[in-house]
Amino acid sequence: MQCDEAGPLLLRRLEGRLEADEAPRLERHLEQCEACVQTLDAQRRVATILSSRPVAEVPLGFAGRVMANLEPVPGWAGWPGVLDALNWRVWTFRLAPVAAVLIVVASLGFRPTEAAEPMEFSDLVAEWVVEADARGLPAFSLLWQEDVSGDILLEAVLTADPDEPF
Amino acid sequence: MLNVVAYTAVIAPNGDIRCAPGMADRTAGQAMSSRGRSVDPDRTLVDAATAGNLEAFEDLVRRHQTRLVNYALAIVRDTGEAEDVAQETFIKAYRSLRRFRGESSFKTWLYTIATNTARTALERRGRRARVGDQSLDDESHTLSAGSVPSGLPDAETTLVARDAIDRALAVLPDDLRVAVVLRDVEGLDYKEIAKVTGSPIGTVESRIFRARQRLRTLLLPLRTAQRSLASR
Repeated sequence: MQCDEAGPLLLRRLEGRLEADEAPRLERHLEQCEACVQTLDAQRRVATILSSRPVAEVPLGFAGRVMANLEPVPGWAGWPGVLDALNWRVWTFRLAPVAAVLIVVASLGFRPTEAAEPMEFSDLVAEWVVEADARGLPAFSLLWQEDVSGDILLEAVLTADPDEPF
Repeated sequence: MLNVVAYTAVIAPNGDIRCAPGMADRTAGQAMSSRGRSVDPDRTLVDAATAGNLEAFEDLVRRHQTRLVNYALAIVRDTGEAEDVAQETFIKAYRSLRRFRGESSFKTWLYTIATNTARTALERRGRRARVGDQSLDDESHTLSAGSVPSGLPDAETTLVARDAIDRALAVLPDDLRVAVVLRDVEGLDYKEIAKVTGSPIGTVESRIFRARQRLRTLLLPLRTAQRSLASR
């Protein structure tokens, strides 16, 4: 074992955290390396000194100043904010892929319906005339025909000859 | 001016490190659940504070104010700024209480906020933890036996000692100082430090090792001076 490899193990030895296979290897190295022995001792002593650092007392009134600077938490009193409760950040990231897939599926499945194009008035009349002529029936008689479209019927009513309504 | 409380370390006869009373108190009271996992001693207060109980949050502040003020002081090395950092930490914790999920202890979570707040303060101040290119051999940072005042009351002696330790810590880069303070001064374990700093445990170990190596020339004379005083 070289000293570079021993370095991190010295820390763990100091705190009793060496793995089972690491301990004997490190001990053999320490038996032969005075520098690492001194490093281990120095690590221990520095840690001891740092742990003995005197604790300073908190300035008087510290807790009171903290409490005085607290702002009311936004949202209903005693109720968590909706966004906080939902942890919106987490759910935004988690649901973003799902939303993307839904958008793609929706766009692929969307097809504009082939709505009937509105007919011009003259075309309606022409169609009605053809219909009426083809059947050889008076215009008003179309009212009793089941297969006549609403547009044709409307034109028939609006343009019927008062002298020959049927 | 901060008052100083006398504080001593305990070394076992075989040289192993034993927790000093303060460090022991930091872990005292941590109960174990039936599954062997430690139960956060702050859980009850945190739940009450989250529900809007301000008195519960004030209890949390009083419970952790000493550790946070001292931690901030070790990092930013300025009394006024340390109080600001600690105060800001508690305010941020209060605002984020509802986002605290209990994945770590409340104490660890506070240290995380404090570390980030202290780093921001240092960046804002525009200077690093390391004091320029000052060499570790600089005599102004060492404390020889002769420079330790003798015959002074214990409070002043410990004040000198604390100031010497803090001056030595100030020489370290931010990441090394944070790691070694969290471990040796605050008593957090490696898993907690990894969470606080957002670094892998291996990186934490490396930083602590390197920090102690750099501090040995600055702090070991202090230890010698303390022993010299004790033997008088």
